[in-house]
Amino acid sequence: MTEIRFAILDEDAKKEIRRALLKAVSLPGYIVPFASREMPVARGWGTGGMQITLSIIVEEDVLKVIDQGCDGSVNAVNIRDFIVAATGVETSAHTDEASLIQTRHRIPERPLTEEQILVFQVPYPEVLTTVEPDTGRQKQIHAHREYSRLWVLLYEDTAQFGESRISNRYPVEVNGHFVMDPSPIPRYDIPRLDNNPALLLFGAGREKRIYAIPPYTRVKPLVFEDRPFLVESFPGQCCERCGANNVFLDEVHGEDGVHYFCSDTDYCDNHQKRTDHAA
Amino acid sequence: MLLDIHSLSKIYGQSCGHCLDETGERQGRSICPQCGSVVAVNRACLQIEGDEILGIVGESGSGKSTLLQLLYRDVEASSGEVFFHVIKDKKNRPVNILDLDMLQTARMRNEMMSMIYQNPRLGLNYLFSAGGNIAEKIIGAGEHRFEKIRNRVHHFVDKIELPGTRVDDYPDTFSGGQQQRIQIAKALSSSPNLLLLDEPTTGLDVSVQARILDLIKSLQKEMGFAMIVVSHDLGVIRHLTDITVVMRHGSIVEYGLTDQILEDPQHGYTQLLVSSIL
Amino acid sequence: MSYVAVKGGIDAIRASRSLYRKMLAGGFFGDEAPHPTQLLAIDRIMSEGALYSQQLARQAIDEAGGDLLEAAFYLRAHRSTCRRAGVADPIETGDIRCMRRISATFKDIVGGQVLGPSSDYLVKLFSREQPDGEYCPPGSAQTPVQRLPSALGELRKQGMIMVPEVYEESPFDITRYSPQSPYPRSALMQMMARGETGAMLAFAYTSMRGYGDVHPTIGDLRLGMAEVTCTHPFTGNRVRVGEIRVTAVETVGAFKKDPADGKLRLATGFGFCFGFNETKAIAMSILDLALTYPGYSIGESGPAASSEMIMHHIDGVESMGFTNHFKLPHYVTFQADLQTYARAKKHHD
Repeated sequence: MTEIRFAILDEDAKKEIRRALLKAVSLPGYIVPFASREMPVARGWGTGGMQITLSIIVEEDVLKVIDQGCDGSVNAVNIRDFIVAATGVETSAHTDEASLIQTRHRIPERPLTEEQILVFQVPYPEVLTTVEPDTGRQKQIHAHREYSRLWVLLYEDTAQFGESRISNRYPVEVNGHFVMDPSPIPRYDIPRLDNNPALLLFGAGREKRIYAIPPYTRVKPLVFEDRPFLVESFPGQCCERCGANNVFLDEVHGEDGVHYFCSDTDYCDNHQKRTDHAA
Repeated sequence: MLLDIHSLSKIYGQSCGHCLDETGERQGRSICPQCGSVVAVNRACLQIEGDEILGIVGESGSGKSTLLQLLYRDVEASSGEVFFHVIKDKKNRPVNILDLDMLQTARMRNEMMSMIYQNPRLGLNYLFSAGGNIAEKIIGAGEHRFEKIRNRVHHFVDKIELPGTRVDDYPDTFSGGQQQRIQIAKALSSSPNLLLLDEPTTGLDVSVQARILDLIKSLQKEMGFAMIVVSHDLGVIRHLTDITVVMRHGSIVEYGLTDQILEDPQHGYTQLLVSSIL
Repeated sequence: MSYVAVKGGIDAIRASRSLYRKMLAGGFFGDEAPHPTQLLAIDRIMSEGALYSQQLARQAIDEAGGDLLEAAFYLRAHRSTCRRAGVADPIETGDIRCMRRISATFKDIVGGQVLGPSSDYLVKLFSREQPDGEYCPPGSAQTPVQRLPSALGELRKQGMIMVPEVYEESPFDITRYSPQSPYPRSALMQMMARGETGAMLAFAYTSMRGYGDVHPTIGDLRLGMAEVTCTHPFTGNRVRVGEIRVTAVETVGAFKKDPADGKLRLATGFGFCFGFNETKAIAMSILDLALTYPGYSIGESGPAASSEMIMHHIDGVESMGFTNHFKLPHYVTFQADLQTYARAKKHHD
C-alpha cells in the first residue's frame, strides 16, 4: 500500500483548505464552502476539524485533542492517535502547552492565548437551518442580514418558556455582522468566545463548510436587550475531585447519588495539583 | 404627497419594443399583436396623499393586482418610476423605490409599507405562531426588547379582537376570517405609512367581510396611514375608499372621488362596471 | 449471444442466465476480477467510493467485513491521499463495448436487444438446478462484446429528443469545489454517480409512485467495457489508461415544449456509474429526469425533483457517518439540554 504522506491530505487539498481559512478569517462568521475530502474517519466524527488541523499543522506544533472537555475520551484519543500517526507531532494534555487544540463541544477552561489556535468540530454550520432549510435562500438571508426569523424563534420560546430553548449551538452575532452557529458548545462557553485572544476555526466536513472568529473579535449571543443571557450553572456544587466551583461540571449519576466533576479534565488536574500544593 | 407613480409598466414576455403602444385602453387589448407579450400594467400614473384611501377597481386581468405587486416589489416593474416620499436619499430627495436593493426593499416592507393578501398563506408564516407572525414585523422594524415586542403583539391581538389566550397558537388553528385578522395585525404592527390590500375580504363570509372592513376602517382612522385597496367588489370600494381609479387592459381609464365614480361614471367601461353590479 | 426481441426469446433468456452464471463463476473479465462472487459488490462500492480499483475494492470489502457502506468509505478515504494526476477524456456511450444492451422503447432496435449476462430471468430459489448449462444458441458470436448505437439514435436523428442547454463550459467538480445552489446539472450528476444505491433507489421510487410524475421508459440500458484515455501531462499525447466496467442508461420521460425553439420534444434522463449496477444507473436517470425537467410534476413537486433534497441526502459516506456519530458522547450538550429543560419546566408549570 501507498505510504502515508505528512498530514495525509494531498498538498492541493491542504492549499485549498488554507485558502478557505484565509477567506473565513477575513470575513468573521461568514461560512466559506470548501470541497471537503473524505477522511479515514467517518463523516460526522470530526472530519471538518481534522481537515483544518491537518492543513495548518507543522512539525513544531504541540497538539491537544479534546471531546467533551476531556483528552481521554475515546473519540479524542482516536483522532489524536490518527493525527500523530500522520504527522509525528508532539502532543500534550496541558492547555497551556498546546499550540493547536482540536475540540468537540467545549472550550478549555484555561484562558487561551494569542499563540494558540482552537479548531472546532462542527456538525451543523448553518445557523439558519431551523428557520430556512433551502441553502440558496440562506445565502440571501446572510447577505441581507435579515435575521428576523431567528429572533421570532427566540420571541416564541421566550413567550412560552421564559427564554430560548436552545441549550447548545446558541446563535451568536460575530463582529456586529453575520450570525453564526458556534458548534455544539454549551451556553457556558458562549461568553468565552467574545474577545478571545486565540484564533478560533470551525470546520464542518460533511457539510463542507469552514468559518472563523479571528482573535479579539466581538461575539454576542442573540438575546433580547431586556433579557439576561442565562448560562449553565451549578449552584452549591463543586468538582468532587479538585474542588473547582466556577467551571462547567459533568453530572455523573452513580448508585450512591449524583456526583459532579470538571468537564475539562486538564483544568481539573491542574487545579487539584495547586490545591494539593497549597495544602 | 406620499406616493408618486410615474408611467409604471409591466410587460410579461420578450417585449418587441412596441408593446405599450399596441395595447391598453385605446387599443382594447393587453396582448401585443406583434410579439404576443402580455402588458399587465401600461404606463400607470397616480398620486396619493399621506392619509388618502385609494380604491382600484377593474375586471380580472385589468392589471390592478399587478400594480399593487409592483409597488410592494413582489414583481419587478418593466419601466417607470415610483417615489415613496418617506424613503429619501442623503440629499433628502425621494428615492425611486424600483431601484432599491433587496435589503432596502426588506426595510421598506418592514417599516413603511405593508401588504395584505387575499390569501393569508401569502402574508403569514405558518411555522410561526400568530404572535410570532406579528412579532416578526416588529422585530424586522428594529425592536429587540422582548417586553416591548410582547406588549405590542398583545396590543394588536386585542385590536383584531382575538382572545389574548390564543396569541401563541399557530395560524392553521384559526378560522379563515381570523387568519385574515392576524394578517392585518401583522401588517399594521410596524405602523406603516402605506397599507396595500389585495382583495382583502374576497372569499370570506359576508358577515365576516363587513366586520373586517369595519376593523380596517377604524384602524386607519386611529393610526392614520394611507391605503390602496384593490377589489373587484364595488361594495368594498364604496365602504373603504375616498378616491377610486378604474383600470382596464392595464391602463387607468378613470380617476375621481369614489362617490362620484359610483354615482356618475363618465367612462363607458366604468358605466358598464357600475351598472353590472348595482 | 443472439439478437432477439424480448418477446419469445427463450433461447436468448437461456443464454443470458448461462452467461450470468459464467460471469459470477469468474474468468469472464480475464484475470482482472480476482473475487468473482463479489463482482457486483465490488462494482457497487467502486461507484459509491468513486474510485475504480477492483483490487482496492476487494480489500475494502475484506476490511469492512462485507459492510458495503463501510467498504465504499475506505475507497473514498484512500482517494483523499492521492494527488490528481489528470482528467480523463469524456467517454462516449456509443463507444462502450456492450455485453448487455436492451431497450424497452422498441421491439427491434439497431444492433438488437442484447440480453447479455443478467439475473432478470433467474428464479430466485435456493439450490435450484441450473438447467441452462453452458448454453450457447446456434449462430451466436463467441465474444459478446461489441459497440452499439443508442436505441434512441433514430428519434434523436429526427429531432424528437430534447437537448438540454449546456450553460457550463466544463463540468463542475464536486471533489474540488463545494457546489452551491442553484446547482449545475453536472454537479448533481456527479453527486449521483457517487450516490448510495439504496438512497437513490428510494428517492427515484418516490417520483414513480405518488410524489412525482416521472413515468420512465428505459430507452437504452448498456453494460460493458469503456476505454479510459487521457492527455499525457508531459508528452501531450493521448494515452490509454485502461478499460473499466460501466453501466449507462438513457430513460425517456414525457414531452414538453423545448425552450430552445418552442417545439414539442421528448425529455430524457441519463444515468451512469462505475461497474455493473443497473438499479443505481436507472434510479439516477429517473432522478435526472425529475431534477432537470421538474415542470412535469403535477401539483406538489416531490422530493425527487428537489435539487436540495438530492444534493444533500444521497451520499452514503456522509449519511452513514453522521448517523453513526450520535454514538459519540454528548455529555456536555445533553447537560445543557437538561438545564434549559429544567428552567423551561419551572417557567411553564
